[in-house]
Amino acid sequence: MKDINRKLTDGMLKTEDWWAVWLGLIMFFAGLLTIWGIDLVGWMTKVKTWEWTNLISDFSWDKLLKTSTGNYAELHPLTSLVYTYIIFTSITCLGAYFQKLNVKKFFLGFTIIFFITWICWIIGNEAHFKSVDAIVKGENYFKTYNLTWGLQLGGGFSYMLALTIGLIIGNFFKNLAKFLQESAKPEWFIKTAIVYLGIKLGLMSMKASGFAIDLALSGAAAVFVAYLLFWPIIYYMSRRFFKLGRDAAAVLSSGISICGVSAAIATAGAIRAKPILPIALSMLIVIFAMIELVILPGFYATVAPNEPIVNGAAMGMTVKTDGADAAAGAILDEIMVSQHLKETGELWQEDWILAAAVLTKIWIDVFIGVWAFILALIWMYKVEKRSTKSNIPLSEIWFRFPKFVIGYFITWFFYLFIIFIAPDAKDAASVGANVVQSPMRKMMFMLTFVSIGVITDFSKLKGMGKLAILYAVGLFIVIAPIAYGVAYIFHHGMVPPLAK
Amino acid sequence: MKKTLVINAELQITHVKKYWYAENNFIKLKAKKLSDLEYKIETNLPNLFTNKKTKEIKVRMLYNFSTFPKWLRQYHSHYFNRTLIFKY
Repeated sequence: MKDINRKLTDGMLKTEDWWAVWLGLIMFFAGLLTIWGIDLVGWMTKVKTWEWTNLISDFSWDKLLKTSTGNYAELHPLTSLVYTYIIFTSITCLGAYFQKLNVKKFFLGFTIIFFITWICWIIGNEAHFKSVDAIVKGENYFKTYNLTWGLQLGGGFSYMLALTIGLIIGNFFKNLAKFLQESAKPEWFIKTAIVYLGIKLGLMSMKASGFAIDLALSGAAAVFVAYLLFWPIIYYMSRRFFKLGRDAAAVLSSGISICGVSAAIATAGAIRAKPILPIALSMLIVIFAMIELVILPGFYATVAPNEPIVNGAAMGMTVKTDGADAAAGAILDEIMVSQHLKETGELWQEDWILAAAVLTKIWIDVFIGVWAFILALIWMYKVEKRSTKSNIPLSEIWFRFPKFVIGYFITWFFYLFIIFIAPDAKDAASVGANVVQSPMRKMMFMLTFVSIGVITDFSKLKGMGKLAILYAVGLFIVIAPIAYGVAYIFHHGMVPPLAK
Repeated sequence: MKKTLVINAELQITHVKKYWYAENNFIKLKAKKLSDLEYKIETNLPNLFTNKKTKEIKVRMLYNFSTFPKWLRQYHSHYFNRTLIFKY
């Protein structure tokens, strides 16, 4: 089987990156039809807050699940869940077919991951785990259910539970994990979720455009930090103290400093290192991203509870791989919003902290192609000094560009466009948009949490001694503190707007 | 002014176990180092062309990403393309 990028359009039907754009845009356009009164997305299931004694005393699925819009209110909640399963399984299997995955295996694996996801999501919405003792949207579930105790974690508990179940499968049920690998695609799921998040940003920009612009522009600072500060420091450390060769040092530096696995592969390709190098490092990156995902949200929320946007942006610069970064941002968002609500009674708008984490990361992601191109030139003219004349096609930048970013900006700017061009359509557009950006996006996040756990096998750290130490030192001693300092300079004092 | 005859060729590149491979429908070469592979390409490629006046061959080297592990392909989908220019 050949997988070669020859033309600029190559990969549009066969890479997960492009399929994140297609899945994102399919639902985006379906959601847009509410402008003309056509609701093609309201069947999507939403999880309700419930309490276990109340449920047991009088069981009803209506207490657990509901449809997303009133247009489908007649649907039984389980029918709504079946619709959700059939539609998302169909479109992901279609993507799997074009990506040349084993569709039968993908279908079975996706089905298992889908139901694990929903079970975790439903459990995570139990009032003792989720509800905060404060009024949210006119109701205090803590009081409604007369709770005597509660973790008060908001939606964060669902994410943590999904991640824990994924990790248990990945580390203790390895045969099952191996079977699920065909369908455990955290990067695909999270990139689709990020395209949906573009809609959310569009909607949020309707309400707080100045804040959104500030956030977007200050995120650009991350580019300079990642490429011109982190990278040279880690490269120097790798060469000077850990005696790595040039190729290994460059690949590792990109992996730790920029955007994880994709940066490691892009850099290795640019300097034409043996592929075994990025392949070996990738597992290290994935495992450390998982460690960051587990540690950092709780740590930041505890150490700096009044700096939500600083924390989000620091996360975007520190956590590698898009999946782990967005996942960490989502947990941080849930924890900090709930914590702030509990302590002050003020409800921050959801998802601004997540947006800070994702925007910062996207800024870093988009320049990886340019960076790899520069490294390729440096290696060709300064390091290898080959006598053979050669050239590096500019198309290399495009082939390495993260395509899901296109979907993210299309959805974001389209909603901004609606505000300026057709403000009267704003409310009708919001109906469909809210379904895509909330329950659908959160489901893609939940699928990501389960999947990222499934593919993370901590035993793979064995035998990586020197590299693992370098990675840990680079990440926690160099990158995390500098990232936090830079995020503090640019975002200090910024807090999400208050929810109504 | 003399015209230079330029021939364009394309080779698929892979790295499997310890070897780099370069191949198309007419030729398959391997070497442990990429620089050695490029030298083999430079010396072997002209034999493919009957036109002895060949002065320059441009070789597009396109890496076949399918040799990467499946689980890794979700993170990135491209390794490298490079054009080598040999003058004779």
